[in-house]
Amino acid sequence: MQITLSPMTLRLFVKPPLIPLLLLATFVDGFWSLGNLRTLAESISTDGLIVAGMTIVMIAGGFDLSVGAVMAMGGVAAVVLLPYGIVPAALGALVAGGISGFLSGTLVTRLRINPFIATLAMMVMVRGATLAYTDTRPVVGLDDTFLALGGGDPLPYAFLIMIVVMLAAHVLLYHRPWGRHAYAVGADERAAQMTGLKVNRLKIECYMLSGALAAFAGMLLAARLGTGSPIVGEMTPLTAAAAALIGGASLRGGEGSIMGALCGLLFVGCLINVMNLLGVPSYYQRMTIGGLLFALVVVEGLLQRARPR
Amino acid sequence: MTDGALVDLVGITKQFGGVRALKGVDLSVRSGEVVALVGHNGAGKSVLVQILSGVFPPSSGEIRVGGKPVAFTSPSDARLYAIETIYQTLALADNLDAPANFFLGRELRTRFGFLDKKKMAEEAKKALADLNPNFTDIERPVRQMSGGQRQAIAIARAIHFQVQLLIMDEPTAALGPHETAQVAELIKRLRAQGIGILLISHDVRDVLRLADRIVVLKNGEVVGALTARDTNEDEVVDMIIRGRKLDADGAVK
Repeated sequence: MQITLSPMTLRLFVKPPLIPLLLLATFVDGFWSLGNLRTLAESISTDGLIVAGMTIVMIAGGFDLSVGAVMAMGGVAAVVLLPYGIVPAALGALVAGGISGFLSGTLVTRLRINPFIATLAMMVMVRGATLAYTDTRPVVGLDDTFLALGGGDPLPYAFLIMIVVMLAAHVLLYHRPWGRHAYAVGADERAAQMTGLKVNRLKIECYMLSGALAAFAGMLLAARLGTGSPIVGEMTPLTAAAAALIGGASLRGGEGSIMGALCGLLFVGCLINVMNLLGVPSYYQRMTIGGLLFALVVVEGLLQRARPR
Repeated sequence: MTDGALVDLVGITKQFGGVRALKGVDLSVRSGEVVALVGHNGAGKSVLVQILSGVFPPSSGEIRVGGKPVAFTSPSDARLYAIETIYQTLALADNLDAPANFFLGRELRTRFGFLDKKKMAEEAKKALADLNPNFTDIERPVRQMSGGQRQAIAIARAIHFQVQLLIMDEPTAALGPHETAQVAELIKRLRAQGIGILLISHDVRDVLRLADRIVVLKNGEVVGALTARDTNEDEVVDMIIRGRKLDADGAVK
């Protein structure tokens, strides 16, 4: 299958390129310092889980705006369940994320609601529930194993987990029938249905995967911060979408790859990291990410129009 | 219904909201028989095709395979009964290559459940070369392929897996004369192998040449059934338009 390489390599050059950014970053003091690289690895690892889920949802022709809220919920759920042990905490987060993904997927498939609206509603509901449960205050989790999960030397554990998850997602997409079906559903849902694929079921599974990964990312974030905060992840859906789009995913579905998403993630991660190093205020950082997303969508529109057929 | 029929449709109706697309259609196809379904746009041909191929269920009526009533909840159910469909739209995933489309929904797997891409590419290549010896460059997204090549993929995958009833919805609509002749050859070959074929076509001349029986659909009802060798183009066209037969002297009954 050709999708593995061509759109990704193409987009790496057509769209904001990673290599020039890295070269540029060389001139920023401290970018290549070990401390900063570690910070970078930490910051992209939680987002990376979410980008993997987002990419899979987008390949199947959907979108998931709820990932940030689900991440916050996952972190809180994990910390709350921590007294029962780290495994129940992780399972609790995964199940909570999976359920919210199941609800999003059901709204999108059975009720035929536009994915942006469905997951926007889910985002607000999940965020509201998390804020209500915590009374808007962070919950503190001081379990040694849990806090250790937030560390890792020389590479953060979260980073290693992200690499494993990305590899698994890649195998799922390219070497399992399920992934091939996701591409087919994203390209032409009706054709996929006529071919006998279980379209609704597959789409619901995509949203469940995205939800579970977002919640798990929330748990890793809580482990790093030592608290489960109900307010984290406000910008996450946008940065994740930007990374996925740079990586070759399309709002129209049927395109994208995990390797591409990893490149997109590195690009967005480096961009934010460099802005932090340069002391760019967070409001301007938001404007930059928003502008980037806007530019990506415009470029995507142009690419679609330029494409034959 | 008919003895020895491969598939019977009995009293099939379909409503979409207030619209009655099919009003009690009976139809049967035997092994080694080519039945043509003709009629205007909106006569209900496509709806009937989609019911028989499992895309949606009928509002009422029965589908029988080998005399036994069956219910299809999805096209994969119809496939279990060896009913394959070549849709007018071809139902291909444009972003996938030919082998991926060929095996879509019934991929060959290795022992551990992974895609056996090599074997699928080999088998698809062989099957496609059977239809069109020049069609060798198969591992690229099908959106880059010609109409004839895309058609070949849709046809090849429909006949590759133990088909007993093949539904062909406008199989030649997008093809040139040479490719149309190839499809006609293929229909004859499959018929000789004992496969039942339900052929949906606009081209009355094609239908007369290829079909054993012709069933005319109008406004969701069967208005006539003709034996291909006892009829002619005028009679079929007239039946499509008026919904009834001409008298021997050419006057409308």
